[in-house]
Amino acid sequence: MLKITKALLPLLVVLMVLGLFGAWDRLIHGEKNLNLGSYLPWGLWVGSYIYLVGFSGGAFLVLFLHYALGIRSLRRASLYALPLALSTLGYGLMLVLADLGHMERFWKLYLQPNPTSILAWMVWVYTAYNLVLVAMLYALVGGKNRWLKPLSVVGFLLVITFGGGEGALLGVLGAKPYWNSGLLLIRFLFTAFLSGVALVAFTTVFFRHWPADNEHRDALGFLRYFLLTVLGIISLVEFAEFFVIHYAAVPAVLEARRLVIFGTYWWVFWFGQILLGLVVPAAILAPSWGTRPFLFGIATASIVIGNAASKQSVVLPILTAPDLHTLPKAFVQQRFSLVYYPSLTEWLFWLGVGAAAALVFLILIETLIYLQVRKEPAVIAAASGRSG
Amino acid sequence: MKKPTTLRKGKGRRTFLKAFFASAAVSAGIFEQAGRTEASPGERSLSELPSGDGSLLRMQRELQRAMKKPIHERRWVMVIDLRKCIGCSACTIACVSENKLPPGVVYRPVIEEEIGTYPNVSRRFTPRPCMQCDNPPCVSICPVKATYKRPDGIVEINYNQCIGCRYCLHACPYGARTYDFGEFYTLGTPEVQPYEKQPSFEYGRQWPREEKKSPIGNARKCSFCIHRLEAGMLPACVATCIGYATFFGDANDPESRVSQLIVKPNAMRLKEELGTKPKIYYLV
Repeated sequence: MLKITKALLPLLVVLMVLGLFGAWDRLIHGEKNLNLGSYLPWGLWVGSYIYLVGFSGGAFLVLFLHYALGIRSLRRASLYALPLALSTLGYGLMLVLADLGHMERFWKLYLQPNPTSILAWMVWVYTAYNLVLVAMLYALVGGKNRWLKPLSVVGFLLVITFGGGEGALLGVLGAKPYWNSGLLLIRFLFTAFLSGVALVAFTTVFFRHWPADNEHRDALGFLRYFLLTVLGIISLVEFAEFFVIHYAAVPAVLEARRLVIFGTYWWVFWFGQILLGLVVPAAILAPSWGTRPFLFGIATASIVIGNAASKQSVVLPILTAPDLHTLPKAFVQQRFSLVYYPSLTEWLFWLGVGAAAALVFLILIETLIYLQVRKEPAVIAAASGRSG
Repeated sequence: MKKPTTLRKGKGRRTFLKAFFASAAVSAGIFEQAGRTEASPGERSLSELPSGDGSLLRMQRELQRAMKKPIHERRWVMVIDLRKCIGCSACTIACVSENKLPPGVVYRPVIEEEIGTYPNVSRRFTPRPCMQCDNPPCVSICPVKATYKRPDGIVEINYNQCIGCRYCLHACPYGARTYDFGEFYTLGTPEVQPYEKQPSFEYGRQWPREEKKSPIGNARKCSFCIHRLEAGMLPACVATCIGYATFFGDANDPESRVSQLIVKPNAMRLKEELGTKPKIYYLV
């Protein structure tokens, strides 16, 4: 077991215990202690869910690149990708389940779905995707390597579906002119790829079980080019959005854009989406020093944080714009606020489930790598030099 | 075209008394409702109305006439005359009282706007119920078909089907949906008062406020007071409007008051460009 894993375990247990308080409050007191309202009906949990399933999809891309397209340099990274895809998906879905007003009616999404609802379709896609992930885990543990290629192809198709579908959830809402764009699907899909691959890269650097040999350097080299490419695509999307919105200057869209850039959550856009999400990683990865493990790790961490901000800056500011001008002043109560900060219950539950997901990730990664190392006795000595 | 009859244009004390008792009859229906059975509207005998030609009585007669038709032949429409609305919010409060709305839930807020600058200033009051869109964006996105359009055009929520995902709140371009977080006005006091736990009669059923049971944890919105319509009564906001600024009726009835009003050139609907085809018309 790595030293970093040993150090994290007690912290994760403490966070999980704290999370139990959040879960208890949610189960006993319902949604009374959530700082949500009718104009800001989604908050930390749904915002994180959108981001976390993106992580999962992006992590799966590494599996697809390795098992379906045969990119050998991602062999080790793919061992990190599967536990990450599973744990982040589970984390996101737990948060969104807790966000439902009637969790006990969850089964209706399966047995009484609305075929015209994207949300209903997403639930089905997530379920299929989850089954693919479990099947891949089973195949990896059980040594059924022939399953991995077809499963990674099916999984990738599902990733494309829900990766874009996340954007479609918001993009199809004609009520929100800023979201109502096909570009949102592309943006969500590529930010999912970027953040998921960056997270896999981050874990391969900071939870490294192998020596920093040529294979490791090859992997970092490939991931560096991949991340730079996706950063380029996202910059293009950013520019396209900026150009169209400001050229067309449709008042409702322009106002929403103003809220994103200069509204209450302006710092999320400038410091998160632009600085951490684009500028810092590009500045680190583009020069030749981009593959130095520590700097590479910083760049990927910056992408992970920056893209969380990117999703929030698309969602949160738009909710602060009322559907009808002055509507929020028509009936003044706490639940009609246009300002949102998560409550203690929301934070505790979020941290607790996050810690549980991290624990699942660490257990799975230790197991998978143990099994892998058994197949590669030559690296045991090197690996043991790093483990605690 | 017949002009709306108002108390101010009545014929003295007799007219006033007729209108007063008619309004009392309309309001009294609220109490009649509590004891009603589950009989279908067709089987139910609707309350007998006093004679008179007051605005409310006329609309209530039209309503009762419409209720005798099959449901798919009715098309309920509300008309709000913004020139008459004085922003008293009586409709908001009547709605809260009728539907036993908890904190954080409102079906008919009145939007207040100040237009212009001194010395050319005016104020506009815009009541905003659910638009009961003919093309409702909230329906197609609901993941479990908990919200749907009835044959008479009213968009209904099946509280027992709703999972509380709040997706529909985002889909409504009018912000007409609010969410029931399970709060009480007297929460935090020594005792939550029993009147707050009284059931509402929305959609013709009793909905007592019990922890974690619907409508707590559900999206909620104006239903045109379906439960009152089925008892032959006008929606609470219409019956309460002190300025006779709100009209209600069957747009498929060419003789109805609303049919005459919605064809006027000064009738408009909110955000028509979205193609939602609201059934709330504003006279401006």
